[in-house]
Amino acid sequence: MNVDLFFNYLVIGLTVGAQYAIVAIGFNIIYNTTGIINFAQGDFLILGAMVAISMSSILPIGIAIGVGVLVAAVYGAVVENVFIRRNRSFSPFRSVCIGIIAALLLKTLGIFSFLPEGIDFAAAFLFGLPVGFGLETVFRKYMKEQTVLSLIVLTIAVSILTREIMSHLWDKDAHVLPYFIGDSNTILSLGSISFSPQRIWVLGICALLVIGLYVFFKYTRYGKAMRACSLDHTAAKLCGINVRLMITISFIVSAAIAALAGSVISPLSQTKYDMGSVLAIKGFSVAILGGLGNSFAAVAGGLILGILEAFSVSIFPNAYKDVVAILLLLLILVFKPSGVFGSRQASQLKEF
Amino acid sequence: MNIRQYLPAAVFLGALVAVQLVISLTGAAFYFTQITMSFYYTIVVIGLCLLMGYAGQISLGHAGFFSIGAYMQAMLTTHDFSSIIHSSWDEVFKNVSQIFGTVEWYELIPEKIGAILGIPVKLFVGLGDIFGMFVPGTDGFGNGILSYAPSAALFISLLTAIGIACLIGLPVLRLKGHYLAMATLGFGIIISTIVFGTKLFGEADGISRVPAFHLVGPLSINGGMADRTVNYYIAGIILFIVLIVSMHIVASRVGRALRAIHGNEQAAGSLGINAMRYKLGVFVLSALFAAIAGVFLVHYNGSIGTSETSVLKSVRYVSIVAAGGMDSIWGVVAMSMGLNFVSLRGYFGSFDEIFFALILVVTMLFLPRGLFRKEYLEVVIKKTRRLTRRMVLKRKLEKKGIVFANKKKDDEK
Amino acid sequence: MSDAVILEAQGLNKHFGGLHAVRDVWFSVQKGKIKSIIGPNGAGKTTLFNLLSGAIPADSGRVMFKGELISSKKPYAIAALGMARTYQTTRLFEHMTVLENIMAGRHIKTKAGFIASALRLPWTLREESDCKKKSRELLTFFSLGEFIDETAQNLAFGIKRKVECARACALEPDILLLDEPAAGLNIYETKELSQLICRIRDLGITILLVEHDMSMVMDISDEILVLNEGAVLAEGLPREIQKNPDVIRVYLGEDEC
Repeated sequence: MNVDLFFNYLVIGLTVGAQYAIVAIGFNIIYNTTGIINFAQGDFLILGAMVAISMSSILPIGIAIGVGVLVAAVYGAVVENVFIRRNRSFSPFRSVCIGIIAALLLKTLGIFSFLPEGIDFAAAFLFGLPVGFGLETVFRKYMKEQTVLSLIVLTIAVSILTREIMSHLWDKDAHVLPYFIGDSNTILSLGSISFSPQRIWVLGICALLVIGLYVFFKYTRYGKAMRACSLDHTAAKLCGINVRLMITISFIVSAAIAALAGSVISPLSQTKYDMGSVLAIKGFSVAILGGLGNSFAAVAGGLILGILEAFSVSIFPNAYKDVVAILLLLLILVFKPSGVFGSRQASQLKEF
Repeated sequence: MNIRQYLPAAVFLGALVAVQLVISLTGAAFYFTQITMSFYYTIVVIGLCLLMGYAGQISLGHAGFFSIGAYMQAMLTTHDFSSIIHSSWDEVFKNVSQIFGTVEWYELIPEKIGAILGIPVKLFVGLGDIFGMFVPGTDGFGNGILSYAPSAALFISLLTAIGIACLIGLPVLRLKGHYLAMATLGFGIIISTIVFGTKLFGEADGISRVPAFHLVGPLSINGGMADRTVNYYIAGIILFIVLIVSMHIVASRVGRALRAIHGNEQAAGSLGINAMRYKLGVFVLSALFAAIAGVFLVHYNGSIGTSETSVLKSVRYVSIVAAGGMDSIWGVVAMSMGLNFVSLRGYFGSFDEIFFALILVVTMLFLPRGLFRKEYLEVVIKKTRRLTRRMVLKRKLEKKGIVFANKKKDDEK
Repeated sequence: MSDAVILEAQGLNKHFGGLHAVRDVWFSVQKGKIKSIIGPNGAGKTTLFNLLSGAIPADSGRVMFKGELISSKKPYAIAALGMARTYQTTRLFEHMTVLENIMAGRHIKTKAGFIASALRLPWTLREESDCKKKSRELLTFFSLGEFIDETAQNLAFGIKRKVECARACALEPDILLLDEPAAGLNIYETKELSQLICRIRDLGITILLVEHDMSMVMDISDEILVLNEGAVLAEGLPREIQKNPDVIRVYLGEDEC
């Protein structure tokens, strides 16, 4: 392998790795405030990118991405409010959401197909919403029984729900966002190495994101409050921190950064409705590589995995590309679950 | 230990016969296909139920074990091994390289390593030949091929599944919670990727033309019209055996140890229960069940496609177990038969996966202990009883002339 | 080492980060006796228990049980050798009935494995009914007969404590490690517990007890070990311990002395 090719692979690896790093940071943010791994993290990224792609046909690209980020952030908040929050008081918001889901289910099952178009939808909602309120009223008390196992399963279900809804809202094809500058043929040359200027965008924006998050967690009121939550929920509560709000914010932030990263990289690696789960597992590998909860190590981990993957393509067949990341994950899990940069003793104190 | 334990099993057998009679009499024999397939999928779900519900260990990779069984069986019974059997040692390498599929990959293996890889394959196949494991058949183009007899392939497939389950389970079962979930998910994706990228397993096309599996006499597992009823019973009986085995395990010392591990692993350890051993045992058992289902289903369907290996399938099995009530085998069986049948009938169309995700969401959110539980029935009975009692009381009072005025209306007046 | 010594700790050490939780602890337990470990909060009593039962590995030092080195063994292997324990916060199998909890405690006394259970071989049935019978007897011994089919999570706190104790006894251990069995019990329950512990001792089971309730400790112990800041402060008969100036200082503060 000559030097030029080496640097080309390196640049490719870095851009892909930056994406993984952002997903991993999203995992970490949510893990730190709630102690759960959000399997739907990868789908947040795809959702944001998909919205941005659709919007880009009618809006300038910057605003389109903004809309994508916004939608993903709102979606993150909804997911947290509806599925993750474990309050036992009656939540009208959750009831309505569950009701809408029930209505859609009734509609898809074709129970009201004998009614004319339009009216069947209304009928579905008429029956669905009471179902939502009924479930909320009757079975709310069982929510406290949720264990780690059920929360894992819940986020997986949310992930699948998200991707399948995306496949229906859009389609099952791969989409791309237009390049920010020029098109796929525009090439930036640096000596003998040449690459698309989009890669600079990806690296730049991801770097900005990481710096921004650092500032957010280190210096702002909310950032500090969220860090307090990650150390001890009860203590944070006693200090007057609204833990519940912090959890919602953590979902919003991690969904928003994922959406931004997804939009920036979309011109290079395309966006398809079902890419979320593989992204999630790779992001998780990266988070583990750096030690769960440690966002800066996650950046290093992401870049390492990206580069490893880029080079693996030159050795292994392309079809086995994903295997590299997952084997890495399995190896770390088996031999050093606390992560390469993590401390063993600290990880023993964690719940799982 | 008493006879009452077998009551559900007897009900199951009764239902098996009753459903067959009803379907045959109404002439709706096309239902048999989906019911038979549901039987096989239920076997996977029962294994997962033992693992998740009883031992409390999550697995998001059971589609992987199902695929190992199905793909191994399909490959062994359709691949032409005659070239390996008859070839000289030099040629073995060429055949072995096919396992790795793509051409680039084949060229990457230095010839010596290829030859070394070829030795065990040649030995294994040669040994199989000595024991008469091969039967002649034809491929898609009518050429004569020599492949494993289904019964021989059955053993190899199941042993492979057991071996891989041990290999994966030993390191992975030390993990807990999210780590275990991710590790098993990763395993599932690896299996799916390997199947997709390997020529031997048909890459994206899967494997078709899997021959019938002749059991004894006229009994054979195949998807033919004529054998529909017979296959319905074969699948039902296999499921029945799996059920009885699971039921026995659950109600035994082993089942107790598993539930103890689920309850509190440390406390179980302090009682002398070797948690790792039992977790591995139940993991391998559930993998074996999944592989059994795969092996038989592939003969019944005659083909296998890559969709069977996807993560979505693994999640579907998990959602059925969750909805069925995690630690109630019969609830899980009922749920699995119902959902699989409805899904296989194509009732949900392209909303299939959404439906299973929704079931998972609703059960996990509101009924983490499953849809079928005795407690819920008791609650409902209690509430209705209270309600009826109140109504009766009210009527009695009304008869005596005491009327409850509606307070709000009075205020408005 | 005399024959009467059943459990012996030899120079145990354990660090948690910068905290030296257990430092160079030497002691031995005589067969058939009740030995208590006392000490102020954070003295390392529970850590010492965890080291003895193999729940956490010691940094250095050895544990000898019935003349066998057990400090490198896994908890389940140590339990199989005849050491049972309870926990400070009860760790019952919450979703199982009391009887099932006890039967799970008889795990090492039974031996049906996966294959034998799956096939329900006749001997496993005999073993199972035998196990059930013995468990019932044990519950009667602990006067828990009325709770036999109750699910563990529905039990009152004091009953849970007793069930956990019974579960540990189901192993038919040579030594029983009780971690603060009287914590959270009222005065009557504590009295009942003391009697129960003595009855267990009379069955020939050696008992090692960690407890805060001084009157109970002084009442039933044959020997007492006092820990302070991870190290052994004093060891001896209850009477001696009561008079030991070091112990009094640790318990009542410097000024009193």
